[in-house]
Amino acid sequence: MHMRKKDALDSASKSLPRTGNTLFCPHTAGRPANLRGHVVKLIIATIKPFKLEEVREALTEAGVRGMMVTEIKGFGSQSGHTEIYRGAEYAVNFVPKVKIEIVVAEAMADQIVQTITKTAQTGKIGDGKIFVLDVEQAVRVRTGETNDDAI
Amino acid sequence: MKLTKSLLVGAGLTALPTLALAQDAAPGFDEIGPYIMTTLLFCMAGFLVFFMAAGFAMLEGGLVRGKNVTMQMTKNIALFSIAAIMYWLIGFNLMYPGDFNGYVGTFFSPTVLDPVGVAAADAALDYATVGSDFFFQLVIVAATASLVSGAVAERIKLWPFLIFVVVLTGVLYPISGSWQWGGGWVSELGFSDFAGSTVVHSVGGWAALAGCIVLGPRLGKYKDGKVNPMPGSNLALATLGTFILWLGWFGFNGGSQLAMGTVGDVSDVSRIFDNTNMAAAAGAVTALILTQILYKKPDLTMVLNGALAGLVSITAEPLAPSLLGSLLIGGVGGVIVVFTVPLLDKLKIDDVVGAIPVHLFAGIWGTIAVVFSGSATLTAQITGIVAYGVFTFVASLIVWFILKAVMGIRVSEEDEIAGLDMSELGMEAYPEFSKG
Repeated sequence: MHMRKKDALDSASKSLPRTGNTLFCPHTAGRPANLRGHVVKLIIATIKPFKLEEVREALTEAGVRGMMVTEIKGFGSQSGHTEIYRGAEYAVNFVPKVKIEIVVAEAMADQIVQTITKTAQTGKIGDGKIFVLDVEQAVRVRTGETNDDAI
Repeated sequence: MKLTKSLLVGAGLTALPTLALAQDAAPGFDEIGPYIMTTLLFCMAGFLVFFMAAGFAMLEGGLVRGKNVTMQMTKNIALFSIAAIMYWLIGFNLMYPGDFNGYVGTFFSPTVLDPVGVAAADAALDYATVGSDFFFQLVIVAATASLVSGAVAERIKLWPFLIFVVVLTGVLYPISGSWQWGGGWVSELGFSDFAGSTVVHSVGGWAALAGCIVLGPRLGKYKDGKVNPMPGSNLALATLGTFILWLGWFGFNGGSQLAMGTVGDVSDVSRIFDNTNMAAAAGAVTALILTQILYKKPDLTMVLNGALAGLVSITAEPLAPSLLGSLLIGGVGGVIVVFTVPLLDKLKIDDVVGAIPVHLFAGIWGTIAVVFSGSATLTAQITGIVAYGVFTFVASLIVWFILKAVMGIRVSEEDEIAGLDMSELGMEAYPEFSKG
């Protein structure tokens, strides 16, 4: 697994070699080579909750076929605000956000990041962050297909 | 409010001498009509006041955090049931002792109902059935205990609380209640409290205040000189609870007319409904506007408390004021809530649902407001307020301290953080919700 991750980092958008020791992985060893697919990226974006629907539409149009969405709380440079409850002011240290996780083929990643940036942006503090990570392996549970074939 | 519960069968007999003699002649509506109508009033009002138990449960369940909801519901159903038993066993006849020294009536005289199929000649035709009278008074005492449970929520152990309820509903409330409604010394001073701003609500408020002081605030509520609010788990339930209480209050105040057998009485009952409603509305609107002005955003929990404070304020005299008068009385109740909730926090008295501002402070205001409608003198009202305050607060403090010494009244720090639902009961109110 680790070998393969390193490979992916080194070879950027080039397709991976499908044979040889560098690709050995206990989980995928023995599978037909044509199920292995191209490397995929995980995009994690935190956005303002009211932007979720707009972002979902834009991503669907951009060809994203699935996403994971979680309601989260957190803080960044916005670092909370104050509210009043029954006459007492209190700090809301963690601001509600929506976290979107999308796994896409490496080639699509930049475009997806741009789409999210464009649609989720209000220009005000607290618009969120986007992180792009390498994915060691993606598997479709139903078929056992891997990587970009699995998404 | 009429002073004494009338169980004078003899009076009924003398009022209707012909009935006793001629058994074949059924009494006409003129003779039994008022008795039936007043009994119906007690039943109808009693059912409404009974439903206030649900109102308190929902209000409190909504204003406590999700980890303490099962406990709050358990306390509410248990306290109502305990009040029902204690009021039968001791309370009712202690509160309405008939002839007595004006301070303490007869202990341990369980309530006995009218016999099955009581004859008109044996009934208290100048009043109502014992059953309906007892029921109406019983559901009112339960309200006193309910409001204590909200104030001491989220940190008190179940059983010490329930023991306090036994003492409050069986002994403390009936003793002080007899001073006014049993024809005791306070009523002889000219003190006036129609449906119980002081006798019911302030008494509960004083008991709650004593409990909050002995218990101490919830962990982390007051930290480094700052108040750390702990928002309630479900404001929809809290709102439902407030509306239920508002509905129940029509019975609470309307039933306290204690008679519906004449044009004057039935008109008064409906007058009371309208005044009660107006005071609640005024309290809510006042709190809505005030919180908008003071905090830039309206605070729903304060608006709910404001409506209830309006109701408590009008309870001492819901009959005499005009609708405008009721609006003013209830509106002041709303003001009191908005300013005394933060005041209690300054004193580090942690009242989870605002029971003390609503029931004690607005209750005192309502009792004083009786003076404006000319039903009592200021001296009499102040004397009554002080008498009820000293007796209930001191007696409650003693009971709370005894409970604290004997069995402890507060859960451990770890249990409080975990929530009383799991630590005291092992059962969550919302087991399928994620913990936010």
